[in-house]
Amino acid sequence: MKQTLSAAIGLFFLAITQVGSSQDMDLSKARAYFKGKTITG
Amino acid sequence: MIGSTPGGSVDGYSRLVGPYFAKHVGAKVILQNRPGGGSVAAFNYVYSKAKPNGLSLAFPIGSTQVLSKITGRAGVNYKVEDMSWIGVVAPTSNTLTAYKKRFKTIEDVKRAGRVRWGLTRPGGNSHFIGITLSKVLGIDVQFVPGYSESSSVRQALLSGEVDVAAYPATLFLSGTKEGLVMPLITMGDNRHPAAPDTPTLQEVIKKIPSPFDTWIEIARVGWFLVSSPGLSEDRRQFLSLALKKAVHDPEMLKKAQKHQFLIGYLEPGKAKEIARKMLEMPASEKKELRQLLKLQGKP
Repeated sequence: MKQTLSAAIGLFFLAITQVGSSQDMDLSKARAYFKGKTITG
Repeated sequence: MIGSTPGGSVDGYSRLVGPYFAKHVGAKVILQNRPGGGSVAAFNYVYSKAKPNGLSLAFPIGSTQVLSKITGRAGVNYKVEDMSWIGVVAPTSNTLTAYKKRFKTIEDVKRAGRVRWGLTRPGGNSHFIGITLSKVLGIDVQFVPGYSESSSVRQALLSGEVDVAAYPATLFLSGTKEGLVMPLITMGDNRHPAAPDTPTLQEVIKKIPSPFDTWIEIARVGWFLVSSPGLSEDRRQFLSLALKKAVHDPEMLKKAQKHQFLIGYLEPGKAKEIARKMLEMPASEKKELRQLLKLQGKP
């Protein structure tokens, strides 16, 4: 049963996840900006 | 800002993913419930009051925000398309579920004539899903709106007060253990792991006719994570990447599996495109949808 669940969830991810191009931009400044900050969400 | 009261499905997903989002951002995340108007209050705040610095985020049900625009809902002062889109969590696994003593298959429901369909707020997401599914599946429905929250609809279903309802599978499928409810169709891309015998909508209806194909698409989108308009692109992309990592975090996935939360991530560009398609539907179609969503009454 556990294996079936894992397989189904895995399939779900395969179906919906798309690889974006987030890595193309230099995000180091953004990373430094958010470090230790408080986000309300 | 979570646009609902504590205890609902949006709240549950926020509390599941929130700590892992914080981990991958390297920040603290405070979850704040700001209910009101089907997440409109939270969305309005982030759109017009919060600074565009990425430190205030809203996490509302995506389709509700789009529908609020289409129906011209009072109090809406945002443009969905102008928000800074971080991503979408958990494309929904809404599942059409029946009271088992009456129905065991979707064909039973169709043959029954008029069935009572339990809803929370008229004009909201569950109502939209009800309209869309009943149209696509050819079910004659009498909507019974006014239940305070989705757990109350579930209770009404379990007591036989209503015949069918469609809500996130995680919330409804627990009733299957007691043999009281029957999941008939799930709207996810794949069968829900907790209901492996229940077909997806795509398995039952191979080609969904227009305009319901677009309606189904927006109904299947989950919860948008958005920030204020004007957030710098590097911060938006950084938050987007952190959200993606959070949703794929192995520890988080273990917890999701344990609590039977079906969870996934949709790129912001894809979600925005779905919302755009819906917002740009022809005026006649918008008019029809507005008419269908004008439902009043209490159970």
